[in-house]
Amino acid sequence: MSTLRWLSGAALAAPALVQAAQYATLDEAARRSFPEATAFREQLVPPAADEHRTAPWRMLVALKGEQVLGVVVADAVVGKFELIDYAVGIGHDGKLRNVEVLAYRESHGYEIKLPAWRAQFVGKDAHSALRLGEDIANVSGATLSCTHVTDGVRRIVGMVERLRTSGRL
Amino acid sequence: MRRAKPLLGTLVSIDVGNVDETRFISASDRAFARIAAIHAAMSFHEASSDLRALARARVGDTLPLHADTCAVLRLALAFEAQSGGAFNACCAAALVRRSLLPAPDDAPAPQACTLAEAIELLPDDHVHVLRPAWIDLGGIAKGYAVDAAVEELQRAGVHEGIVNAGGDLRAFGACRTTVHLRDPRSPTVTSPVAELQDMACATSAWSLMTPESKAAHIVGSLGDNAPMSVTVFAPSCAAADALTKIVWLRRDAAADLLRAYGARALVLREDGSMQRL
Repeated sequence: MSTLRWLSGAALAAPALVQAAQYATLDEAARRSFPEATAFREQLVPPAADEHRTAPWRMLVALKGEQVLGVVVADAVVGKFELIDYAVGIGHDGKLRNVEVLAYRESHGYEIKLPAWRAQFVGKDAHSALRLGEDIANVSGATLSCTHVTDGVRRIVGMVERLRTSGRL
Repeated sequence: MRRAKPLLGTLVSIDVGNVDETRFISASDRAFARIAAIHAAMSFHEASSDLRALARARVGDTLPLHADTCAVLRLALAFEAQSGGAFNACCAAALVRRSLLPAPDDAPAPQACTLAEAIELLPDDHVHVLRPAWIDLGGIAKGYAVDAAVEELQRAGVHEGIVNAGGDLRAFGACRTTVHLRDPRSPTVTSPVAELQDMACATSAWSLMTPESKAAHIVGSLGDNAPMSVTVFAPSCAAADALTKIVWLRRDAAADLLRAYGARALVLREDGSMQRL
């Protein structure tokens, strides 16, 4: 039965909390992208000179026996006040198979760019919801844009395409 | 168990209880696929969408559209009629002028009209074009997509959970959830405003990225001390989504329509005050 109960409060006055939610691990995203895989091999790929990126790309190569099925690439994008970890599964044919959000967290601003702030979330799995603040799943209001993730997916598809055409995948 | 994907231009999460992982993955795959299909059919950005086909159509054409597009157009026509025109799906041209939507390069800009003046729904998911129109279903399609995802999950044997598309959400089954409202002026400030069960909720608010441009996405006369955020709780997310725009423009005059839909609204105004309808 539908029920609605108002909670008290005449204005939005709560102190800012760290909203955070963990949705999946990279391993889970890999299995969802390639359920037929028998093994995954971790690989680090140095970025190309024109990629404006210093860290290597972290990816899992999906294998069925000796056959390469594709890759799952992990990445993170930082928005105005949010950080999103996500994974992109791309088949050996170059086709996008799956995009899975791994984790989402938001904050006031500057600390979101700090490695130390980001590191506190490492190692949680999808079943251990972060209890730093209220669960992000229930926040309504002005809508968060996912443009950064969409742009990131496009970059990763391009990067994997270069690996494929140069025979490195 | 929970899962999220970037869809509908935002983050869409599915959170369910009381199912095993195999069922959860297959059910959520279907729900996400349904949302992606609805987005593809009803995106004004994509030249291959139903809405762009309607924008290119000539007067007198009959077009076959996706069943979901026809269902949303039917809802949009009903909300337009019931709100005295406050809900206006033919607002795409105005949003293009405000640079909130890209101008289509394959269709001339139309004269302003209502949705009822622009199209007539025919049987078997066909639409008869009465006038050229740029239709944007951004005011209702996200809510409809949430309802459709809930339908897919239920059909796949999931009996309780929450589908949340960037704050337009619906809880179904036994789970209760507390909804927190975000302050559009300082997005990390949130407050618990209501607890709901088996109900949907949608918010229309100033943009997080450009709060200074205020209600640029609302087409119509705003008046003094206008809202900066309107949240509607309703049995379906499509109704909640559409009603946010009607409450934004009609304010207290929307109370009867809210009641007719079994809905309630929470209005947050520019002076910081909060009103329940």
